[in-house]
Amino acid sequence: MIYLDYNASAPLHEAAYEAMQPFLGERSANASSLHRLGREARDAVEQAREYVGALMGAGSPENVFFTSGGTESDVWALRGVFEQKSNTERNSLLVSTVEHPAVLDTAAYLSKHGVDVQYIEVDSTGCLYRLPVTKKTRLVSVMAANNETGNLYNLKSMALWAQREGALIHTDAVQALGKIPVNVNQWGVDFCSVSAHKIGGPQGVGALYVHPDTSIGPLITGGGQERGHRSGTLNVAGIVGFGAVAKAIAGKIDERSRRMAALRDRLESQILTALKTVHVLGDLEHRLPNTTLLTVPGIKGEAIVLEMDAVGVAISTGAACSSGSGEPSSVLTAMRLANPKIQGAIRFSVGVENTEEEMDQAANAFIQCVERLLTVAGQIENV
Amino acid sequence: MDHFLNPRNVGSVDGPTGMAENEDCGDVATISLRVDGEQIVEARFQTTGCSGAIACCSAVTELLTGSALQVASELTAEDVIDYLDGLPTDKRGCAKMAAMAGLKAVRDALGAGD
Repeated sequence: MIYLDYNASAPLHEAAYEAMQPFLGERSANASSLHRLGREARDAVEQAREYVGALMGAGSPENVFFTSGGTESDVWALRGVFEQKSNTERNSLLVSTVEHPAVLDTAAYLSKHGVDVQYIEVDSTGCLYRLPVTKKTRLVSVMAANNETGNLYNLKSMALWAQREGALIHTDAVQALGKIPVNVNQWGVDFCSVSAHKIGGPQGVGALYVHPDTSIGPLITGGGQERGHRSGTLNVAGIVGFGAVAKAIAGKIDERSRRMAALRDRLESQILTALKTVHVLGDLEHRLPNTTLLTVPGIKGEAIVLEMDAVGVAISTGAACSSGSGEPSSVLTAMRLANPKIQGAIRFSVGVENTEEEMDQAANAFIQCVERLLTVAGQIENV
Repeated sequence: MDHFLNPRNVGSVDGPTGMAENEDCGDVATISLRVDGEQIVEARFQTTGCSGAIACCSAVTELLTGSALQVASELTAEDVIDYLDGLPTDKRGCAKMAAMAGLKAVRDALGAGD
């Protein structure tokens, strides 16, 4: 199988796999326990916190809190801010319309509970040009990189706008981590969500960076783990795996980024040369190095994915289709694209482990698949 | 999956006796027929639909080919689902859309229109 769906989940990195093994076996213990195994587990968690914090540019590792993943981190940041003591002067949440559902659905939830939610519109390439922060804005949430288009957003500039009005800013950097340099201190954000499995760590682990001068209430209450910020027995093996992969890729982000871009460009150029009906969606000047979101208007992305799967290439649609509802991608809908472009969207997301040969094979398979489906759709003559 | 990956009777019949288009959930299916006497001797389809729509249209053309027009006029979505040995729940609408395209083409051939 040629795996080109890294934005969905990256295969487990060898360093993570090896580091996790003892904590799934003979060194398994509760990191809150006082005995030796417990203390060792706690030490391993703290070591991992240092590695993850360093990869995020978090300054002190104490600013990093482990969670169950990117979704929990996003939900915690938003609800944690608004479920603290209410601030009637500042009761507005500002989110972009292309955020992950973890942010958009939480914004909708908060809206039902009295928060004034404002949405920042994007243009047809997914770019946003203004951040309408006001003195009433309590929190801004804009992602660092979009999961579908790969679009990058200028966090540094947005953090300045937010700070100027006295608002807090959260970013979902789940897709950015490991693909481009992430530095929460340089960006100037107050909260940053990351996820282990997008960078080759295990699934079910994430983290939220919280600026030391910022207060946030807990989302999950209970035993008081994570210094009272996030209760629940720590997922030691998962956290250790996250730390191991963070350590393994630290200092190599630029090199990884260049390799991913070269692979992505090789794949993309072959497809665009062969198929004039295919277009690239998003902001081509500012996007993740590993992502290309293509669209073939007139045929269904879902059909392409299944046919590519049958020939051994794993990719994703940009739009979900369940017959009868045909639910479109919220990101592409927010970009106000015509329905055929939304329905025909296909996302390739490569990883550093991919090879040039895989790009050539995947491009060939895609070209044949699209030509066949265009024939079935009656858009090209029978072959 | 076989009828999706290897669809039968893709294309359009030259000089069709009956032809119809059906649209549902943004998908369009076109089925064309050639009739000799009372019997459908050729059925072809084109669709912009998803994997389910492709498989169902392929099944409809197979069910129609060789069938008498009067028998074909009783085609149902259940016939299509049975022919494909079942369909996932979220693809059952595709069977409806394809069967309706087939029925409309049969009615067109019978001269009854829609």
